[in-house]
Amino acid sequence: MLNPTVTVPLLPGFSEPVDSSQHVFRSLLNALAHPGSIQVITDIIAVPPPLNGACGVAGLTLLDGETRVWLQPRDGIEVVRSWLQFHCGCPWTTTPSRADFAIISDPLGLESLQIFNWGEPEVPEQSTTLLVQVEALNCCINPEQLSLQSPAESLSSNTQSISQFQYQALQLQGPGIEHKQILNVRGIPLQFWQELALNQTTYPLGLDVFLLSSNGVVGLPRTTIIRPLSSTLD
Amino acid sequence: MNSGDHGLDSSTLQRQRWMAILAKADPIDLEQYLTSLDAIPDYSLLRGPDIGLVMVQGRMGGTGHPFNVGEMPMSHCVVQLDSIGSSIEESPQSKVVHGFGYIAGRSLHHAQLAAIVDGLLQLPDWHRQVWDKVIQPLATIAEAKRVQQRQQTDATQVNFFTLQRGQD
Repeated sequence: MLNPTVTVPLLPGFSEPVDSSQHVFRSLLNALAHPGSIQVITDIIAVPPPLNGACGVAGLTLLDGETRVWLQPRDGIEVVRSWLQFHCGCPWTTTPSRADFAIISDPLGLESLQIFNWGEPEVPEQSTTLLVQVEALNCCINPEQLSLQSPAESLSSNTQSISQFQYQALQLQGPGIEHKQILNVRGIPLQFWQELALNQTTYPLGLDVFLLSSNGVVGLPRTTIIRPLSSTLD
Repeated sequence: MNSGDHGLDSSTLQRQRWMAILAKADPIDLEQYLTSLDAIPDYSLLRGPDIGLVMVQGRMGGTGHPFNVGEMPMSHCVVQLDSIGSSIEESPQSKVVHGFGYIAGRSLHHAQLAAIVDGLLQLPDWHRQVWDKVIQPLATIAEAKRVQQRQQTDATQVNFFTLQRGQD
């Protein structure tokens, strides 16, 4: 006769939802307004792996009952789905081109960016916004300084694990950047940047991207020109 | 409101009934009965308690179309209670139940109490005890209030013996 909703335990959401979601939203806005600058997110809470801190709270902030979400399939991702389902109630899709937001927790496992919605001429803004999880973000000008990868130089708290992939240095130009901005990203393959460069030819259609680390976010609107620099790191 | 069961199974109807009793109860009574229970399991707050607004809808008299009556404050809360020991599954993974409390108004405390009781009622080991010691007394109080109000209202009815009334 009893029909309890027996389930696996869920992590809570923001303890102060109004304040926290506004803080995070402001960080996301600033990230897009100043492309390539790293916005530190202070309202980080425990989120279910494989999501990292910034990706999780960005999800809590941006997703709701009207945002259709594509969650990149991978082992263990269903815990994330349950968590977002409970706190955001977002509708899901298995078709990336129908998604308003795509949560990519494994950029290396993403085959192509063509699967997403790049917008339509009449509604270019209805493209898929990508929430891309990265291992680390760093703004320091000289990529060679990153060989130490010490906690002081990296905003990532994940300094225990050694990534098999090095930082990729990127040169950014465009609206919101006074001259040029150097951004170093760890955890995204070169192919991703090569495909994203299509933004330059498809404009106003295109993809807008958020790079999310454990506690920081970088915004890359489609107007940003991204040039990968040859890496000097090992 | 109870004009039909809309095809819901009995366990859902039962849950709706106890959630309604919890929502409409006086929070002081509710707390009194809840604390009279033996030590309840640990729980964690999964959501809130928060206060928010809901849009209340009504139906047009002539057409039956829905329209927005206005916004009203509501408080909600979700608690998470361990379901260990009452699950018959072999899986070593810990399971939980979620207790939901939705109440009209701005009492965070009431919403949390309602959520705790809703959670306990979903645990087989607790269901009987909580039903008898919390829900039943609250239902009795609510029924007594209904009866009293009905009597007071009936006492105001004016009977015309010389004129024919339409309701017969």
